Amino acid sequence: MDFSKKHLKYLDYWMIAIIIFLAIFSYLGISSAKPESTYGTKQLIFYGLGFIVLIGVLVIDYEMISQYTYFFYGVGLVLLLGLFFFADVTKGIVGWYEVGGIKFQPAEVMKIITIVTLATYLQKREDRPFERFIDLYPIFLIIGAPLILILLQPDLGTGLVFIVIMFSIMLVYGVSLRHFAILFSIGAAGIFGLGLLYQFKQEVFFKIIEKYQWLRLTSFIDPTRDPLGTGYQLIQSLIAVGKGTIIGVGLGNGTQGRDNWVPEAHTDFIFSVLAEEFGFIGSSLLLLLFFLLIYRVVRIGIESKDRFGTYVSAGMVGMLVFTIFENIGMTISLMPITGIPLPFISYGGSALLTNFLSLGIILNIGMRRKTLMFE
Amino acid sequence: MRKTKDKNKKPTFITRMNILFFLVFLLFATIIFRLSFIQLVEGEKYSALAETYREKKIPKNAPRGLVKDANHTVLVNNKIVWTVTFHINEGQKQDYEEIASRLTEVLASPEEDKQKLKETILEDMDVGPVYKASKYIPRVIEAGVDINQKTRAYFEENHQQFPGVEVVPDQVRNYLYNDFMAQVIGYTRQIPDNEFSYYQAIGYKLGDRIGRYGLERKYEHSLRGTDGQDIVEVNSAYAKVQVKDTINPVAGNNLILTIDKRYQEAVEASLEKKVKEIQTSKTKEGENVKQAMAVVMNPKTGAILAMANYPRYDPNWFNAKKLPADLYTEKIMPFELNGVIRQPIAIGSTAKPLTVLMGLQEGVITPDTTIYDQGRILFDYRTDSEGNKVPLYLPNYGGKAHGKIDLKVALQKSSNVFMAEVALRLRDKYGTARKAIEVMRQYNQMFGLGVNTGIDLAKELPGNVNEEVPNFVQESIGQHDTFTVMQLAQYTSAVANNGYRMRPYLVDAIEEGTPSGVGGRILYKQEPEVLNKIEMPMEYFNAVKQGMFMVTQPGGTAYFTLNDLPIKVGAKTGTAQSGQYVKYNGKWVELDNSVLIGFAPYDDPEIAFAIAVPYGGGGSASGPIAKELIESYLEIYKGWQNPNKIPKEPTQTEETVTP
Repeated sequence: MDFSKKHLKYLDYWMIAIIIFLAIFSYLGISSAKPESTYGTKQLIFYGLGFIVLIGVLVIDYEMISQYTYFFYGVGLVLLLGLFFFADVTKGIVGWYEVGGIKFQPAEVMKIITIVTLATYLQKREDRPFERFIDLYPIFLIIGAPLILILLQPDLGTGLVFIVIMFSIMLVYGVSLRHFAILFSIGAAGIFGLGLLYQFKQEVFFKIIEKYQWLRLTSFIDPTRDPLGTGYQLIQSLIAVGKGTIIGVGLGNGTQGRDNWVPEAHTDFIFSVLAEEFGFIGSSLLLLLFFLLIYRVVRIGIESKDRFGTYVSAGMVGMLVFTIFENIGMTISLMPITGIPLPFISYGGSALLTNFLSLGIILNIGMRRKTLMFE
Repeated sequence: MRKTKDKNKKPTFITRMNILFFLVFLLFATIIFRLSFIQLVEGEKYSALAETYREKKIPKNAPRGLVKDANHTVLVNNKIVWTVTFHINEGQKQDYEEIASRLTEVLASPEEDKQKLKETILEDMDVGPVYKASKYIPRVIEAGVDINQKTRAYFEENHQQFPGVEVVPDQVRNYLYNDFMAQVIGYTRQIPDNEFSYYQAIGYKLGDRIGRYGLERKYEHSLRGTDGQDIVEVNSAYAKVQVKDTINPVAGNNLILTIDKRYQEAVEASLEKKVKEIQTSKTKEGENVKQAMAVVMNPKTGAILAMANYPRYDPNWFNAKKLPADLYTEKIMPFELNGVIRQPIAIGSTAKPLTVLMGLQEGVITPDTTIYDQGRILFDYRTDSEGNKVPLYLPNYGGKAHGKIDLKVALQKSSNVFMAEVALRLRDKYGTARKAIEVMRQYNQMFGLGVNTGIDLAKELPGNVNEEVPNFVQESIGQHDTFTVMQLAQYTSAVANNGYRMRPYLVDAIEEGTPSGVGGRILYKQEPEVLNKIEMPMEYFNAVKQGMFMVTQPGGTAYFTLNDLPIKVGAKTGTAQSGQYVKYNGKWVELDNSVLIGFAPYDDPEIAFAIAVPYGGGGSASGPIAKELIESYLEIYKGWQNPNKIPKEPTQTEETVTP
């Protein structure tokens, strides 16, 4: 194993510090949302396990991960496909395997595998630019295969994460603006087509898009359209956030989550709980931590010894920023409500361990970076 | 070429990474911007919104004021009935159909049609789209009124399954002595739908009970307390988290009646005894007698000492979940109204003291006037079919001739001839029959006949003025206009009290209510109120009262029933033709109302009374009632021992306690 003191010296301790602060936020938020449960303590245990995973990932050279990535990618696809045969429906989605009471969501890990796979492919391609739009097909294949399986679950939120990852990596690789324009045009045409369907053939429209998904998508604009469903969640979440004002109602004084007004307060809607208790100051601090975390990832991407590291960082940045924006956005009526948890904060073992896995890969890249001249 | 590319390569991807980071910055900026808007600009709005969602006001019904008798014996108090209510709440997920189904499962009795019950429950839940009541007030589920402890516990344990459903304590009236004084005390009911908007405007809420009849209605504003409420913090299942604020209810004020429960009971018992006695007799009255009424009042003050009806009903029946239709139509409806103040009857000869007083005041007779009573008097002619004049005679009762009589004997013997003579003289004085009857009605009204007596009860009626064929001769003997027993009592009282017409009252005082039921300070004390003074020389009153005294003396119409009393009594009997015919022993016979008025003691009247037994016949019906109510008065108020009554044996338990 290639592990030395030099690597420890280059380990990004800033990032570790940020994660510890996030752990504190996570514990306080979960404890406030579910004061009479052991969720808070359990989350700390998951954090402990997370650090073990982190160390495990750090020990392996990321080049080895890169070598086996196609194998992992294949396994991931099989697992995603297997869901349709072996998994039960949870919250209307076939997304989880349940083994011995432990839930495992293949899509979570698949995000990381896909980032690494795409980075590996582009690294091999070196800097050859894509001349024609059609030349981009390997990227579409790598992203498209898991994306379609996930959209079929159907899990629109996670699907969008894949698209954002693709765009982030394409952007950093240097795909020309012209190709981006074509992509956007295709997307826009699709949306326009759906719009026409909705306008003139609603019954066909609702065969493609489930009714509840449509309500979710639209209720964030006008919560009163679905006041008992997602609109209800949104109204309650807005009340929680709004109630926080500048300094918040204080630790343990928030009633929105504790009294069960905000649903899923310890998981998807944990930001509402934190915003209620710590106010604008506390939520801004949390956002700052996330911003700094992403900044460190960007730094590592820039300082990476090879392009593989840069692409992985870009993918991770896309993944992180989208999940954060989507999760916080849905609590404050910026985005439609989906089931995406807030990284490092929401309660849940498998999601947290996956977060640590990606963190491990990023730290690994940072640790094995080139020696810069100003050193 | 290669070299320049190498040079440019590194800055390019760093630039691109920075572009990505700039996008990240934009997204974070968006979040911060939106967050600051929600938390800093709209914070107050959401805090206020939070309060409306998070707080629930649980009304605490104020106990209604008690009704007590003159000795402060509680006659009516309250009891708690647990009632299921439903509250529409948009902050809560409510599937109305589902809730109704679940309620049906819990509330349906085994033999009940569940589908039908569910529809009724949904109707009670009033979930729109057109609301019967304001959307924001709880609805009472009729099927869930007065649920038992077990059902209540079930709702407590499973409250998550019933969003918006609550079991609340509802206070209902507890009429401790069941049918005692039922029509007078009245009852409470939930506000009828068509009157709800009126009551809502004066501070009532849906589901509140209001006095619907009798004292309960008349004194609604005193009996009703001020409801309080608990403001509680609730969770999303609307279960209580903690009490934030409490406003205690203020109990309604208590009524203290002029009635002594023991006396009222005695009078009610006398009525019942007599009616049952007649019903089992083999006379023509027999089963036709259905009811009896009596009022006893203090002529000096107007205080009512007894106001009795028979039969009565139990107002507690109105507390029932749903009043069975047959119970209502058979046991309540025929007797629901207080006949004493609402049922006009022909008063017969009890009108005669008034006819005499009028004759004296109008100067058509003097206290010494005598007339010769031949047993009948010619008062008019009618023209028969052949155009002949046929004389019309008014006979005395049984056609008996009394000879030369003055006004006192006329009253004692109940001479129709004397009264008709007075009426005819009055007609002669004023010229026309029409004018004569107008004068008579003026006198009636002075004494309270044909006008409201002013009793403190709701829905009093003034009797009926017969306008079809105004007949002043019939009016002089009480066979024309009809009046209530309450009016008779007031008129008797005014005669006994030498022309002072007092306002009758049942509530002597209003006492501040307390949560414990122990009376607080006196808020209001009823003072006797003279409605009008009939200006007549004292000798007229004295002459008439003497005549009424002679009624109870040998030769008088009430001698046989009222002779055996330790005090002197003035009275006047009445046997009024009711106009109701029944077949008896194969012949059609007319039924008479048995009416009696009186006052006692004769020298200084303490009570004035009026009794009526519709279709009860002559004096044999109301006379014994009069005797018993005087005796009961003496026993209860004067401590008199009735020698004809065997004193109660001390009970066994009392003996064993005595050492």
